[in-house]
Amino acid sequence: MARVQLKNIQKSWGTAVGVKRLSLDIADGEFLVLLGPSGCGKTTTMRMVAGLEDPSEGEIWIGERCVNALEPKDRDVAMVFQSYGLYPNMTVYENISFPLRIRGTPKAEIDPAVMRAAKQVELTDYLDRKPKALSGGQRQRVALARAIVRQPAVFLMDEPLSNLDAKLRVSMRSHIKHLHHSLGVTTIYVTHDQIEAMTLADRVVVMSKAEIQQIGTPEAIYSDPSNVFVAGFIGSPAMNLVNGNLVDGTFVATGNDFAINIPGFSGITKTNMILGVRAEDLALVEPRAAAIQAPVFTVELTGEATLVTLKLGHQFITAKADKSHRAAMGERAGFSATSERCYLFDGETELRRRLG
Amino acid sequence: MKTKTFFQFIGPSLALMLVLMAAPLVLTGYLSVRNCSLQMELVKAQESTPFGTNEILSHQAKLGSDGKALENCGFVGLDYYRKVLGITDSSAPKASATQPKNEFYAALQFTLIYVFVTLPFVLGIGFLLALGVNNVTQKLKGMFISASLLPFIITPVVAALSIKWLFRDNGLVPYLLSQVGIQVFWMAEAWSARLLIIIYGIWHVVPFAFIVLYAGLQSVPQDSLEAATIDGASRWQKMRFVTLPHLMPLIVFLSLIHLMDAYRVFEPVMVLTQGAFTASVQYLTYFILLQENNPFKASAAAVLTLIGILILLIPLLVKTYREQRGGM
Repeated sequence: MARVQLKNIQKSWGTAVGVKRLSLDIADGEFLVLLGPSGCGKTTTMRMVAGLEDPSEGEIWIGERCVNALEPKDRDVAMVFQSYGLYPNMTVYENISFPLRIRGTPKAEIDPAVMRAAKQVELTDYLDRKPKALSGGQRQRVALARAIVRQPAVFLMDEPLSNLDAKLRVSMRSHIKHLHHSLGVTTIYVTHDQIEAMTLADRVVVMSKAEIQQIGTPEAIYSDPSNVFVAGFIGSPAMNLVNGNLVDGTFVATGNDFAINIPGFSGITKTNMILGVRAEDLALVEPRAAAIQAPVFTVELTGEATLVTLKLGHQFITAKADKSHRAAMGERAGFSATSERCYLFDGETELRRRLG
Repeated sequence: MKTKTFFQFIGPSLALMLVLMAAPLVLTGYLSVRNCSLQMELVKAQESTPFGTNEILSHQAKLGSDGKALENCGFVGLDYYRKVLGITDSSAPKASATQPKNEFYAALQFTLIYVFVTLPFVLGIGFLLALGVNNVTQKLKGMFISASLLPFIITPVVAALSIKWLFRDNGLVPYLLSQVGIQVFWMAEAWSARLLIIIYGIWHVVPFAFIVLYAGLQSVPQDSLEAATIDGASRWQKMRFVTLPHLMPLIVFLSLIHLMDAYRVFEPVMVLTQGAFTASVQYLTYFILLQENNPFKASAAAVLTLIGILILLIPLLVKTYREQRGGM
């Protein structure tokens, strides 16, 4: 178990920058999720911690050691891969025991360690099988067992659930969370799936274009996004982002389609602003009484709710209504916004405009 | 799938296999247990010369009514096999088994030496080449691959000739060796003649092994390699536990192909030494056909060659069959 620190690390290939001046301090025992779209540098960051890539600049510390010059095997990390990375010619038992055997652990210690790890991921019945004869979920559990058998200081997980089907993903997610809880090992977890990030993380690092966009608890990045990217990336359906201007504390959408008074901004006038509001913070109301009203563009039933989308000029805005709500496409509908839950962003810098 | 559809699909290739492989095989087998000889007769002829008339007796083929020679054909059982194998009828094999005096055993001995000496070199050098090319930069790869494939592209006879010219007396290699005081007449001694053919065998087949293994290296699972790196495996251990197991089916495949191919070695024997010290079983068939002009005995030798290949392949085939059934 160890604290992991990334100090100003950068990774570039020629002129292409994969990770730009990134600093992170991961507490001992923390579950940290690196979240972002593909190509944002999250996997590269993790691979640098693992030692599979060398940072172009900066230092990586695991515990009390700077590990830049250390080989991956000497960093005391274990990694779980998206496509499992198992050894197909070995049985489950041999796969799990491989890290111990290769490090010359005494035979007497190997067997109990393998059995303990196999038990933790519920694989004891499959030890004699080869990976080929296992399902995707079981294979990933073998990979997990192989990672925990050595009791490393840090776990690295590179999109471990991405190759599994949706149902299995949910159950494996709870497996991983439980495992982290019982082992308490510092974990860095890379994913592009925001649900995974929200459900698993102690803290989420949202990355885009080689840079950190926001670091915070799942709650904070959801309800207090610090820029347009985070606001749009987190949450499903995505947060509504509407272009417009702020006129004396009132947001006026481009084309004068609607206006909403934003509390606390009175007296402030600024052009080129973006209003962000989540679908669940919009309520469907009588069109005549509504701040926002337009013809219904589309209605989607998700099972737990109904998503109603209006078209305002060139922009779309979606509200989450009760599952029993029925609206006809083309009919006029009205939304009213909870104004305390509206976020304002600067259209130019895309940063959040906060009160005060 | 319906049986009819199934046969429609495999029909064409089945027909080709029957015509081009099964039929000649059966025919060869048939020939090998038969013998035909011309019916001979003693013909009295009168020879008239200016000095008188002589009556001479001559041995001639008997002609049928259509003017063609009559033949006595019949089943001879395993006679020709016995002849090829040097088993004499009355006495049990006492000399032939231990001493490779018989030409078939001598040929078999060299063929087996050739097969089992070339195999590890072909696999080993092919693998090293594949690893090497896999590690050079992208730009050089194409060049290296083309260059490495050259020996394989050349027609075997031409390839053997080029080796021959390199090593013939007064050729380049003997000349260079003589400069450092070594004098070898490569075609004149058993060890060097055999060595030449083995060198040819390795040189000519390595590119095939190389290209197959190089293709295999492209699909080594990177995840498993990286997992092994983090698990603490050294370069050599990664090779041993990840790369080689991944290439194993290809290595078995290459071994199968090479065993079959090498056991039928013919061209280099023909070109380099004309069988001196180095008759192979395949060469023996050719030799019997050519020198003894006996297609029946040659057929027996050919069938024996085939049986030899089968015996060589059985262990590998059994292994492959087991793996396929066991689902690896």
